[in-house]
Amino acid sequence: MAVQSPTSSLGGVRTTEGPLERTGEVSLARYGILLLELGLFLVLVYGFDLESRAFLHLGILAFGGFAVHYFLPRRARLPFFVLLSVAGVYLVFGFQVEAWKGEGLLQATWLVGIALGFVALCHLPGSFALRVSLVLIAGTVLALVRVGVVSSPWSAALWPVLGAMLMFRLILYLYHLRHLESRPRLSESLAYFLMLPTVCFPLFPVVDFRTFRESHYASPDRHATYQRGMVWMMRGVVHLLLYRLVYHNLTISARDVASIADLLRYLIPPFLLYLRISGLFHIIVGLLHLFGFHLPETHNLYFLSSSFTDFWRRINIYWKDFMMRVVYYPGFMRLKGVGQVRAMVAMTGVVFAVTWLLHTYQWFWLQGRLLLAWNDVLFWLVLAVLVSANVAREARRGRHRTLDVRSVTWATAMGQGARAIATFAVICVLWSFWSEESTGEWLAAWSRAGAAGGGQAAWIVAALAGLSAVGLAAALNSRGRIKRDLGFYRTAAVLVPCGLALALLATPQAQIARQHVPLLADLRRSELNARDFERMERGYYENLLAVNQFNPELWEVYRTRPADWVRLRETPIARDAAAIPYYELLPSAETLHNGVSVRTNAWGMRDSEVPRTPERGTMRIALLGSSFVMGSGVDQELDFESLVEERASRETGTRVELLNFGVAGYTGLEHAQLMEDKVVSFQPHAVVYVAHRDDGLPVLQHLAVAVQRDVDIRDGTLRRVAESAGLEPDLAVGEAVRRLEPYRRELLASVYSRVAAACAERGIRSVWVYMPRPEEHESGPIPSELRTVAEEAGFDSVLALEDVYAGHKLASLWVARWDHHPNVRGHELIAEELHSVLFAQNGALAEHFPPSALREEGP
Amino acid sequence: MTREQIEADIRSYILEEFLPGEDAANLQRDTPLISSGVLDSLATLKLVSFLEESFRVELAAHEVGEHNLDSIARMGEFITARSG
Repeated sequence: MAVQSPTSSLGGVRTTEGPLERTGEVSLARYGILLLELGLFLVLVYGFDLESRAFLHLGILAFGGFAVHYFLPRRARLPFFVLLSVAGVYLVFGFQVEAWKGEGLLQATWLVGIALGFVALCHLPGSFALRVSLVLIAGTVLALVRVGVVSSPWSAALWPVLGAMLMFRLILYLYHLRHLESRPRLSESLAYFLMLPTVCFPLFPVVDFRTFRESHYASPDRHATYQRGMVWMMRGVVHLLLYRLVYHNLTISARDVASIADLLRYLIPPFLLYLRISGLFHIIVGLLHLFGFHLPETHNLYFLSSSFTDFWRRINIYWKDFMMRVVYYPGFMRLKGVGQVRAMVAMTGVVFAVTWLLHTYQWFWLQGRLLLAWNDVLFWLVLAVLVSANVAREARRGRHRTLDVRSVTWATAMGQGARAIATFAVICVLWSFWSEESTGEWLAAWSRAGAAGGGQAAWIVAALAGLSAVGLAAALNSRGRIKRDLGFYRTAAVLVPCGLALALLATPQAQIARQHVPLLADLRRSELNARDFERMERGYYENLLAVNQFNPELWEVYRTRPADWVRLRETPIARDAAAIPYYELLPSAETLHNGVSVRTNAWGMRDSEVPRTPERGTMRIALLGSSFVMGSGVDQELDFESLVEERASRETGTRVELLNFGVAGYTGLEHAQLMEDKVVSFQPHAVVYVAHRDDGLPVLQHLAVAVQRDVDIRDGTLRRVAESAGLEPDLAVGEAVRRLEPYRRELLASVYSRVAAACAERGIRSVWVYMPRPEEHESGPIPSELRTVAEEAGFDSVLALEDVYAGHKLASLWVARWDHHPNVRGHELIAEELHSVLFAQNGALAEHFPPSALREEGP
Repeated sequence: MTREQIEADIRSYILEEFLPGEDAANLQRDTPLISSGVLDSLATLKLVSFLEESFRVELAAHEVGEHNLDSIARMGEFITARSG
């Protein structure tokens, strides 16, 4: 007997939820293909390190869940999805974070509990107004907890996920509760709020409750739903990979603009970076399809928009629908008495104002602070004006519509293409403005480009080719040439080989290809590009997605990093000081730091005991550096300092003593002070200063912190720069760093010069060594400016170990996935290279051998 | 007014207002209109005004959307239910 259920709407096709035998058809061949595709998707997530490790684990859970879900009777599928969603929360927060165990489980319980509490408030007996009031009161209390006015036992990691679960879903849920003909079932409500991948994606598409509810197994062919989900997930992967190519190859900062070509490179990529959002949304909604939710697409070829209204309709469609439902239609119905066109234009303006407000509201829940930036206000204002103008024009003149795209003439299509190019260009300009923190820098880029002219022709040609491609694609699309639905098996015939080809690129065996084709290597780079690594700034969406920046606790959960993985400064072996360095290691102390024993000698170094004065005939070398030099994450006898010391002594026949002055977290600021206060008293014959690619920024950051903590800054240059930049103890570190930015080179040169000068005064040989960390963004040649600063500072030798990790997969050299310090193998490679440049023939210190070259009493 | 008459009126209006020059055979009772993008929000609101004026019904904001207006058949069903 057929089981009848309420009618439902989706994708323009009204269907009736079919009997079990219709929606429950089992096809082992299709099931197998879907599992293969889902498996390939997970291989891609793993191989390309897409998003977070937690998402991979959630994906594996979804794989298992789908494998079971497929065979469940129709009525059991939604409750099963709820269970799977709750399991996902516990998986991410609890079970996989070993050290958290109890705490993680507790936090996961809080998360689910708070969400359930809000659902309960929505269903309390009493009037609708009363329930809305209670939700508002509870939301206000939550906001007070969010800003720290009210204390709570909740981890900071909870907030972005809680925000994603509640901030918009509650609005839509209440809206539909008021208007739906039938009361939602408990499983529907829970599935909506706890929706499986939410725990991994703080920025989540605003799924409409009615659509979510009615789309569940609404398609008569469930395999088509699953397959559509797989297509969207794979499309999402492609978006994310394209995003990486753009991010690592095209973006430049405003300061780098010196020609028209540079200006094009500056203006176009920020909009292209939106690929990350569309990619994630495709994956999220695709994943929901695997559990029967035949939801509409979230984005529709938004780069091909032919007008500003078209753009608004194609980009983030769920947001547009949300605004239409709760703002535009209700407002229009009230205003229509003033005339249709006026009401439409007025409500378009209101929609954009509300959109701006809600973006700020979203920022608050995800980031914990309000977003009040002029460029944000101006962006929405200009977009509102453009869309309103388009609305008025379309309302009066109408627009060309057709049911049969084949009837579109080429002339019409080419017109569509031209409009798409114009729209794309304007949006690019607007988006670049939105993404830039400083309006002044944005304007300055334009004036510099205007004054300088052309620039590299290749970039101009590439930009024009790109714009032409947009126009051509838009023209073809208007004639229906971009085909969407191929059917189950034909789709699989495309999806599986493409997925396999991409998966091959992600394998370790493709390392050689990646070395020769840098673009392929970029596909696997998940970290910040060089510009952002230096500046730590991004556009609106970029900032919201960078969980590692706005919420380190959540990032640690996502990266499955044990909670007790702490900085050395937070261990008992470190103590604060009243001057720079503003913390130091205790002498003769020992602690367990991230699973490794750290023991200091009587002088507070992570090293063996040594006398203050070098013994006769001993070659003493002082090593200056940070955690990298200190050997964070490896046993002391296995770090490169110990390895070089042992090998140099053995091969030269001289007692070579390397003193490890490295301290985790130290920067050039501390190295220079340490050099003057401590290192010289140990009378080394040579000092080796270990530098990294980003040596400048940490100096700024630590100077900003030093001023904020009001510690004694004895160096005159540092004091003068801090004063010139207007640094005060009550200034936020971020703002202080921004003010110090113009002094970056001067400060770096100053600390380098102090080290080199302290050496020169005492006849100590000074060696500056550039040593990349095992990170993709540090690979490649040493930045020429860094080398120049080091050379001008007066070091006797300036060396670079650029190829120290050549031929090795960088991830294989990390201490842990969440800790990219070199592991034992990494230290071996560094030791080999460092030994070679210091002690081999023509090495920087080779002239000190044989031992007779050493001075009798040390320097 | 029968449902067939209502649907015929709506069909004529859509062809005339939004799809001039379109082959009438392409517009079926179940042709998706909003979800396929043929009717955007502006066109939908024009259509709402037409429905309200022609069939003397008043639509609430929450009734505007795919669930009631995505095809001529749905509109016919909705208007019939409201008129009845």
